[in-house]
Amino acid sequence: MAERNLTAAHKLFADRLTDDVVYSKEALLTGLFGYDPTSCVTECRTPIHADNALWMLEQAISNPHVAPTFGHALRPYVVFNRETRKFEYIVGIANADLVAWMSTPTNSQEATIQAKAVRAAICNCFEMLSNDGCDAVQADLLDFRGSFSPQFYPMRYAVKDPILQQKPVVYSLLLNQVAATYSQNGVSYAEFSVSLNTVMTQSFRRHVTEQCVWPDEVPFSLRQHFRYQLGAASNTVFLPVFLERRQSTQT
Amino acid sequence: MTGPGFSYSDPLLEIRWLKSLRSHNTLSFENAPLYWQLGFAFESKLHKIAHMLDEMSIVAGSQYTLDDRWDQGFIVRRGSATLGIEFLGMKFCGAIPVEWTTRAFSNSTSEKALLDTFLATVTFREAVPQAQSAAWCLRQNDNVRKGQMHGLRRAVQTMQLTDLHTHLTGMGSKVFWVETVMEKVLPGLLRESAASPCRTRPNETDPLVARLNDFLRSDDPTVEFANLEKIVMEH
Repeated sequence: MAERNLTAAHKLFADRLTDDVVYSKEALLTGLFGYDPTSCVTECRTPIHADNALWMLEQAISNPHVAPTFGHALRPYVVFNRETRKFEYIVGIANADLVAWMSTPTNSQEATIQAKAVRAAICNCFEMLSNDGCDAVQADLLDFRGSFSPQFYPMRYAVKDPILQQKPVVYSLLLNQVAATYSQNGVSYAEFSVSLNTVMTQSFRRHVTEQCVWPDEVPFSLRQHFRYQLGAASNTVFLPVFLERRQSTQT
Repeated sequence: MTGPGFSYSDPLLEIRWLKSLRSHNTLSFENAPLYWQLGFAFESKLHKIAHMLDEMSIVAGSQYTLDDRWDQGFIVRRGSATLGIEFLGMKFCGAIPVEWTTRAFSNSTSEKALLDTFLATVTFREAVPQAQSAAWCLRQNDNVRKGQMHGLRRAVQTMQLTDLHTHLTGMGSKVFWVETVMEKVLPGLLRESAASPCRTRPNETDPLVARLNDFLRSDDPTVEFANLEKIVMEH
């Protein structure tokens, strides 16, 4: 029995393992709708079947004038969660597939429209923008006002979590990006709230240090070095950053 | 780190000392649990240490130097003796710290007797909190309610808050997350992992199977399966 399970684990692992970032279906639904429709049970919302959830996902990401394309992309994967240091079996879309849909092809107008729609929807998972992915206009701001939850949280955080859990090096890129922006605008000292669970993970401490190894694809503008220090209080962890730009070793 | 001699009576020296601590990066993330146990923010802790050094220098009549284990509580050294400082508690008025109690101890018999007599427990009263400690005190409470809003208004009026305080994972624009991370960084990391050599065995030509075997035989006890085993059992 144990040997059979081991063989099954071999097959399952070999078929599904990927080093790419995989966005789970739940994370995408939360990022696009603000809640997971398959698990939400309230008075006004009845639980939605998984097939309907997939349809909602396609409707949200795809242009209604083109055929749904995400059915074959939602597949099971085995990914390594570096935050919990566990392998996880999730159903979702790999980052490579999502990027391929967002890239604008030139041979088909329909495909171009679809790519723009996908890009607009995904951009809205990270920043509060208008429906077409451009900067929010006055009407959007009026819509956002007073309803930051769940439009702000968890919508604008849900898709970031898989990235940060599976590739924690992005923490370092994010901190450098924000610190560079602050420094260029005259801020000399800033503090960032980080959850205690995140700070205590080994992956976070390993990557949010000055010894970070930058991938080749990271733009040089993001390879700034700043001084980080950690402050801890009884129930809050914050990350003071002294924005003293150093001379980088690369030119 | 071997710290410089310290005299709390010289404020300029204190500033230089604080800057030297920062420049040596004395706070590391690996020691985060220790700071968590101490329960004090960096600036606030240094302020307490400064007061403690002042009191001890009066009693012992000599200068002390920082020990390289200062972040573990063994912060002061004179000769072969090492003095430790333990923070016992703080009192608040609203959100502003007004008093804290610390205790000093030593591994030297003669000095221990001296310190136990005079410095077993020392209580300091805070007149004006420093900028970061005030901001920290405001944040460290679960509920910043009506009474504590007085302290927040006071801190804001006296410009004692930090320049910016934001949630780290909430930062970044669509240009950073989509165009940089999703379209450049993550594909690059994927190419790097695909190009990295896998620890294959001679009879295991499938790299994914070989990688699974590596994980299963790994000595790393922290690598686990979250829900994979359950799914295998169901199949």
